[in-house]
Amino acid sequence: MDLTILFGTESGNAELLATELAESLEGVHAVEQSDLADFDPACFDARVLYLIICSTHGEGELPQSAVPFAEAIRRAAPDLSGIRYAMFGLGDSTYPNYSRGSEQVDALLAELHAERIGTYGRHDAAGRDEATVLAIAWANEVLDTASARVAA
Amino acid sequence: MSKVLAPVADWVDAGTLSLDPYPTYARLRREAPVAHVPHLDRYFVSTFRDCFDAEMDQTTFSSHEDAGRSTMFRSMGRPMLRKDDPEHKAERNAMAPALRPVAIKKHWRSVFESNADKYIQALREQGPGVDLFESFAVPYAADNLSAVIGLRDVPATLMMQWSHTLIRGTGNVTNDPAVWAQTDAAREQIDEAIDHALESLSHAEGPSMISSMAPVMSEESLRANVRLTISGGMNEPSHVISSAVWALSAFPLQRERVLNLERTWRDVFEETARFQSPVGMYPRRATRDVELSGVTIPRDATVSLIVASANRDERQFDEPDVFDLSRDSTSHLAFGNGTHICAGNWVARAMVGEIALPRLYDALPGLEAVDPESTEFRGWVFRGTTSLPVSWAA
Repeated sequence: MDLTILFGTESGNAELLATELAESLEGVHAVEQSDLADFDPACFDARVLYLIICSTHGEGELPQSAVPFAEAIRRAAPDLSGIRYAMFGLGDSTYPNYSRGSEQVDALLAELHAERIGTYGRHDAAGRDEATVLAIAWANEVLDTASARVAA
Repeated sequence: MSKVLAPVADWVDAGTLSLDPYPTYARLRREAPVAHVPHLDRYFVSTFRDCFDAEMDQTTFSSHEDAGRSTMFRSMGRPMLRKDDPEHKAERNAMAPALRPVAIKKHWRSVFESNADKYIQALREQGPGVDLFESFAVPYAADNLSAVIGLRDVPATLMMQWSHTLIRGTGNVTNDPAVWAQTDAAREQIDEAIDHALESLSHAEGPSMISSMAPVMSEESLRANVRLTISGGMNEPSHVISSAVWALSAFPLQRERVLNLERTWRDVFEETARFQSPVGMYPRRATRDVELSGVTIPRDATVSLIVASANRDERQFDEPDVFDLSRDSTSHLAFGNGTHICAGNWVARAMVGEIALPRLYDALPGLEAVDPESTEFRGWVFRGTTSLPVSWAA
């Protein structure tokens, strides 16, 4: 399956997670990786499954690398029917609006009729789970869901 | 609405704070969570909630300091720590390529590992009884810092001397001319080292702070940020390393849990940073009259966000005075939060929690402080041990 991992990051943690996830999926899948800041919303492709990893800044705001993406997609408002993605949010439950950054990106994509598949992954920095472990398990579940659909 | 003045805590004493600030902090949280401390001319904010909220609100609690009054500017120029956004953010983004987790994974991890091994070897050569702080924590932190900043051939002892001199300058509120003379001399040496780095810029050894900042920042700001990093990048990691080994010695059941793999070195790092926060206080300036915990802090007041107290707040942490690796939440304020959250936090987490501690305990089985009961911690703005003799099963 063709995969593109997109990350929205503030201090680079989502970027590291995207890199580690890409490393674990390469070999089995064709994986590309991009910062949301460098991704043109006009380039969404229905043949590709998008794995989006996005952190939260401050009290529920978008991380800075997701801001230009959010602006561009609001401006262009492309029809994303047929586009499939999965979402993994990073946050710290000590802060108000925990994990709300990824939810903002999710809402933008849903409004434009993209389809989220699999479970909504999350990592809480206040807990003691390892983000990489959770993200790999999440991606595998998403990929199972996606392949089951293709088979059906 | 009538304004309630903050209670005056004239009983807060700087000498007592330096010896052991925690009883004072506990009393402040209980009796006067926002208090005016007259002889330091500051408002102390001591609860987790208030410190957290204040750090999230840079419009009200500004980091922008008036150049005329600032000992930090006198000793190192105006670094990003004393600017608000958007200026602060722009400079922070400029140095970010050197400090991002991906840069650590690709470039710094192997550098830190070889530095750790080098100084573990030095510990072995000196044998049990050696001072872990002096012979491992300090030179390890210094060499890592040189690499990340992009300075070459700076001996660890010189790096430490620069760092301490700049910190003394920042603390020179009495304007002692002898201290300024030392600060100026250190600045000159640091500037030469920066000149040397700028002459031969290279990404070959990894994206250093200097090579990341140089293309996009004025040289004046670059130099101020390098000086800030030297002053702030030495004490904290070296203190956390020795504080962690001390804590695992003073609380041996916790050490067992790590060595049994029930808990991780990351847990040790985070709990140590909470329990013995190496930076205890972050200064801010109130930009308007602001109410916090029911009392008013007047406009232009200097505010001390006592994160070391926030990290022992019983409303946030059960039994806060116990070192406990099994807390529900590992979140603390040792790095600050909000826009000024320590830019080096990923570097610190990697060099201490992921590399130094596991390597030390792996290489030196039975590692422990010789006498954890009588280990002396000093300071409240910056706090740590000044020496930590250790033993192991040689």
